[in-house]
Amino acid sequence: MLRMHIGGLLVALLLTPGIVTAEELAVIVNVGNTTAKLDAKEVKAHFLKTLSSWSNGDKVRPLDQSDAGPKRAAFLGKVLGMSATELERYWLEKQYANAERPPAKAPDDATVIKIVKTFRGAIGFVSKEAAEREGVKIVLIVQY
Amino acid sequence: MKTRVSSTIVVLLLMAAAVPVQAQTLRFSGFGDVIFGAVGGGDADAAAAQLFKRFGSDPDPVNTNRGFGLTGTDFVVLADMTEAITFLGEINFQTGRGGSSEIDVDIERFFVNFQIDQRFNLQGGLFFTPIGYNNRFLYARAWLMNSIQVPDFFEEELNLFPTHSVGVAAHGEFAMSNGHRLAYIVSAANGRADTPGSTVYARDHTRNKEITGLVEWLIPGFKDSRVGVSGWSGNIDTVRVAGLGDVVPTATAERLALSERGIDTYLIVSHRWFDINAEYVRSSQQDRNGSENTAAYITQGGMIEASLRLAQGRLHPYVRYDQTSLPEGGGPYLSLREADGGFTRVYVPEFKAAMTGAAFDLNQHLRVKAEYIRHLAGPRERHGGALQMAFGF
Repeated sequence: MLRMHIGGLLVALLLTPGIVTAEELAVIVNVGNTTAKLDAKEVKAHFLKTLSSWSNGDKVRPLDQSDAGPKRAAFLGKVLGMSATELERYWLEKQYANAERPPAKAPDDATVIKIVKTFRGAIGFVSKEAAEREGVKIVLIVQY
Repeated sequence: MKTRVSSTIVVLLLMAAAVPVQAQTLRFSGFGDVIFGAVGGGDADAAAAQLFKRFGSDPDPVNTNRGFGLTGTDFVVLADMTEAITFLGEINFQTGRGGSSEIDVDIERFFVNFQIDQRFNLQGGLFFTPIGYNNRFLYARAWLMNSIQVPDFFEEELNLFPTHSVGVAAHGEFAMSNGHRLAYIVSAANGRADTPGSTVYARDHTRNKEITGLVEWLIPGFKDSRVGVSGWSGNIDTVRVAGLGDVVPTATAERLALSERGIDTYLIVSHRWFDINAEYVRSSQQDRNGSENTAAYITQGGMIEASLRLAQGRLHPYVRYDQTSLPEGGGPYLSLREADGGFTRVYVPEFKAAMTGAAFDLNQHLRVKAEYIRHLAGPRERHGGALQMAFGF
């Protein structure tokens, strides 16, 4: 009887998509940006402003999120390879060294999308679902 | 309705931050540190200690950590005047190193940066002389350094090598394959003043200009790793003071014309698990009239620090070795100081020490450190220990 209950529970777990499906975030750029795809290293280079302009000459405008949730933690960890503390220190170092401006922090996906839609050089990260719903250009998808 | 208005305001503010059209983004930051240190074990070099007692400029060599100490604190203001033009002003409040509580106010940096293109940008004002790595990035910034001891070879008070310049600089980066970049900085600035400690800020009475160049290979990774070489050239118009402790009135001082050339090489490795900071700098000063002494005065400095990055990048145990090598007592120029109505020469000691310790980031703004230092030469006591709390915001 107990064995049947356990077997049923396992089947139910396997059939529940929410439990086994990973969340996804999308790195987005303006539709006018000619870049089709970026890998994590390239996103990192743009986001950390080690590349300050796109291939078409537009200035790179990275946009961070102020929400310290799992989406931002995933972007920092899987794309930038840094913790939140390391990223804060990185920008303070850049600011001290050569007056570099850190990215603005948007409160939510909707604000990131609005800004990315407005500025040709903008790059940000939002949930894949929000990106697809708003029809912005996705250059990288990251599972977490 | 209220929510929509608030949301629109947030977007507008963020857009303003992303694209400043006037001096609407004013950024303010700062850093500083508090140290507690103790020394003991007797003089590392008794003869050097005797010379320092007789001819040194302070009771202790610069950056000796004894008791509680507040080295200083810096406040940085950045104004994004337009999208491409940023002003940076850094004011340093520093307590008298000679044991007094008098606070000196010093303009550390004061420049306008014109961001034109990744490959070509301009900077004008007072900036760190583009020599090496530690002078540009880590000088006196306890919060950014793993170790506590400020390197003698880029200590502003000693000015063994040029640390600050007033002038113009062009800088930029060229993209290479696989994310690698080649960066450069070229600067033309006021040369050195008649004594090492009196940098020429307001006006340069001589025609001497110092030309500096730096080329740096940036290798992408956890953070950029760097391999660089830089050099400088300039003339120095100063005075001749024959012996340590002699005082020569300005009116009767014999003029001395020196030329200075220098080179600096460095390697900075920034890996997910470890960091390496290695730098070597060498200068040669020579009497350019060659009237009586054509020998070159050679000054060298260097350090190597290896540290680990543990506990999610918060813990940095390290080992470090520093050394400076100076002409006798500092030579005719590096030992020169202004005296009442004239000039004198002080004994500038060499530095040779090994250090070990650890830095721990309590959070992104606060770093605490503990360090043991073993002096192998010079007038300092053999053993030293220090605790430091460094902050940056």
